[in-house]
Amino acid sequence: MIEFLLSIFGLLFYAYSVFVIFYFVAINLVYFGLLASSLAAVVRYKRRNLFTDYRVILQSEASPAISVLTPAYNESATIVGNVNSLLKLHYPTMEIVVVNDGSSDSTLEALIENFHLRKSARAYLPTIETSSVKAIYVSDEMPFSNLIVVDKENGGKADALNAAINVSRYPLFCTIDADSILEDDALLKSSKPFLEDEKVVAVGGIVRVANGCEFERGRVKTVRLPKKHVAIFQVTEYLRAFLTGRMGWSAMNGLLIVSGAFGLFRRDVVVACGGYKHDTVGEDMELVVRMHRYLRQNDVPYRIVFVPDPVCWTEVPESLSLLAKQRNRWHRGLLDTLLIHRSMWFNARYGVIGTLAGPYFVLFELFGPIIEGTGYLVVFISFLLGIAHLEILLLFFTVAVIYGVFFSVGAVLLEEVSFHRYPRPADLFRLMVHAVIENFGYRQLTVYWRIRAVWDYMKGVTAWGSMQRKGFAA
Amino acid sequence: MNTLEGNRIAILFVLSVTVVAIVAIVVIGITLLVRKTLERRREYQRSRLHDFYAHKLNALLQADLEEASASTGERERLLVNLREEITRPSRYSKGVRRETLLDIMIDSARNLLGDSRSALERVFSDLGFVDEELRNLSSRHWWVRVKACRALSFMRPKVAVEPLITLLDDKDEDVRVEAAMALVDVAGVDALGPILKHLRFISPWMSLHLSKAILEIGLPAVQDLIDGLASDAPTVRSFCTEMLGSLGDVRAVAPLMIFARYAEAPLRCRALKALGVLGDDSSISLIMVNCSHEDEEVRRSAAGALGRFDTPLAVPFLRDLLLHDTVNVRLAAAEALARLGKAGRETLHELSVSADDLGRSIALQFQSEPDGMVLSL
Repeated sequence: MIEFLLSIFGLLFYAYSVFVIFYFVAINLVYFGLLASSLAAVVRYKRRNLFTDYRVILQSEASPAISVLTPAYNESATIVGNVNSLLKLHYPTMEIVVVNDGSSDSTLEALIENFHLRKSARAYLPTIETSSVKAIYVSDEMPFSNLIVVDKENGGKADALNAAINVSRYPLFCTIDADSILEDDALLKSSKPFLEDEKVVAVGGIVRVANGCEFERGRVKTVRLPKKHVAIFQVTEYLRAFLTGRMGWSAMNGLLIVSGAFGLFRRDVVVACGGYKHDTVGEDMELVVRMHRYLRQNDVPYRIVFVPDPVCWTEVPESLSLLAKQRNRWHRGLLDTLLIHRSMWFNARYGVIGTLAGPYFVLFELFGPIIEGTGYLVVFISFLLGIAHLEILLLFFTVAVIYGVFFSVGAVLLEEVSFHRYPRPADLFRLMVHAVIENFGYRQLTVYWRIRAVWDYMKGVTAWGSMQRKGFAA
Repeated sequence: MNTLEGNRIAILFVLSVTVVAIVAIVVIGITLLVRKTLERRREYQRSRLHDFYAHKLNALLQADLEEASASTGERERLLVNLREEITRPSRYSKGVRRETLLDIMIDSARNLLGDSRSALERVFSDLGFVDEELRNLSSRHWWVRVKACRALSFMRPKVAVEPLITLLDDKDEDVRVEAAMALVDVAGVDALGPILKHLRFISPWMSLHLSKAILEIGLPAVQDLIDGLASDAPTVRSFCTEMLGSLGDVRAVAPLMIFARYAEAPLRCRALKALGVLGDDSSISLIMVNCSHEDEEVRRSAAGALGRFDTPLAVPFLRDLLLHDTVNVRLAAAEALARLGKAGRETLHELSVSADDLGRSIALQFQSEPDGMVLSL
């Protein structure tokens, strides 16, 4: 009986190992394609913008005006510094709309006191439905004259952004998390695609890890790698996600994510799509997918692009428990969006999105962790039961590690041929070392967190989790 | 084990690809580290050479200026010396020395005026930089052509005019933009006619660049812009319309009124905005007529333009728009009323009581905060 069970298991193991090998070949071919596409796109972008004089945008009255939208919930400790940092952004015509999303701390009071705000009768059309807006505040003082604060009932991040979109008046809006900071020229650089091509409806910029950098007056003074390993692992992850993933998909007009931390959108298109969706934790990805859907269904020619050098600096978790919560939320957001728009995937009507980008996210981003996790488990159990040999176990692990290292080093390569923001050879060396060692433990942890997220999603968990921020004080 | 043996080829294949990946990782890693180190070394070399070359260049420019009054041969000696400096064998590579000197000269070109500027332009030519960039204008790589245009805009050699005009028809937009900008730098207002004649499409990006150059040229550009209104290319006509409004010359009123009367909606909007900026009374009645145009954007532009005229005649038209039109047109009408002085403010006051909900809300706001909204429209 035991022999029979073992032979059944052996057969299953064989089938599964064949499947895993095919899956590995497929995923690595796709990654390789993305890496090659990104490399070409980054080089092209770099050449294209090597001589760009962004002061032209700064000096022109014809530059498209931008509303900078930032939702704030219980941010009393950092909100004043962050708004000050936004007020210093280099851009000719912009307004800053801060939404106090029913904070229970003194976020609103801090804003009123520091920016000398008063209640305003500002008229706006509530095109997108939101929780009720209690009051709108503006300042009469010149340095803050383009600041608008919306005080509203708590409704979540998406709801706060929708309220900000309603109140905003300019043709483009930029979303930025209250705990992130933009580089001074980020708006100039990210507005350029809108000027070059009228089909562009959204632009995503790169989000970089701020931990370890030195700050002065809310600005990055010196770029350094973080000290903690967990944060350095995230640096390579961010480089991989943005420079390889998003750059590659952008080149094919298949970008499915514009990060909530920093994105620039055409207001009319977002309003036509209905704004941000309230009941999802992946509202940024969901909006972009819905925009693709809306524009494809209405046969509107469009482009959603990623530009790799306008930088948004963000603080990443340095403890594994906080990181686990963040990754859990991201993966639940991914799963939710893919389910909401399931009719788009493997559907030629949606072009690159339906036939390439969507299937990639379903097969490799969503199921990838499950297949990798079960792969580890099956091989290990088979080894314990004596069905598989040590060689198989080592081969499986080695292949997984080497390919992981290859694509992480590829992302570092992209960073170096393009923007090389880490000036010291020592930082580059540390990045490459971490690109190798992340595959021994850290990567498996992220696989576990993402499998756990699928489980949590099935149980109906909708929590956001929270993060303790240190802020960007000098 | 049978299954394992059955898949030996597949495993060997995976293993060999893995080996290739390992080799690639090692090669990439070493290359990046070496590249980074070389880059820092290059930066160090450039910083070492910078002051040395800057000093030599200053001496050369000084000698050039002095030789305008009396020929001493000093300029020639210094020029030969500098030429040798960037060509002879040295522990610093030829490329680094040449790039460093060129950077210093371009930096100087940004700041120098008058005779010193002319002296610098002669040095660009005598050291062979101009010939090199002229050759680069016909490179098959667009980025080399862009770089050459940019460099020539600092060098300003008259011989570059013809090749730059040819590049206005380049297939790459960045090249066209840079060629146009370089032409303006090299030939000034004389470049505008050929630019507007050759360009078939002006994107918003190119428009930003050209408008900057045209605003610097000022009123001498008006005639070329009026001629540009007859272009076959809609974007060129649209651009000229907008610029004529910005330059504020009354010669533009008559041709712009033709556009405001007969053109399609987008061009008509621009013409109305431009007429508003020009503020010539002869255009008021035409702008008022456009307040009842079927296109929302035209009505909005007309409302905005009316706000620029200090006349109570505009009030009934704006009042009507604020009462009955779409939200965007109402906002434009309210802003215009707020700009119109006493008569406009009284109308806003009246409408803040008597209009419908949206009209009241908009009127109320502009009544209390007219300045706060001006930028938004």
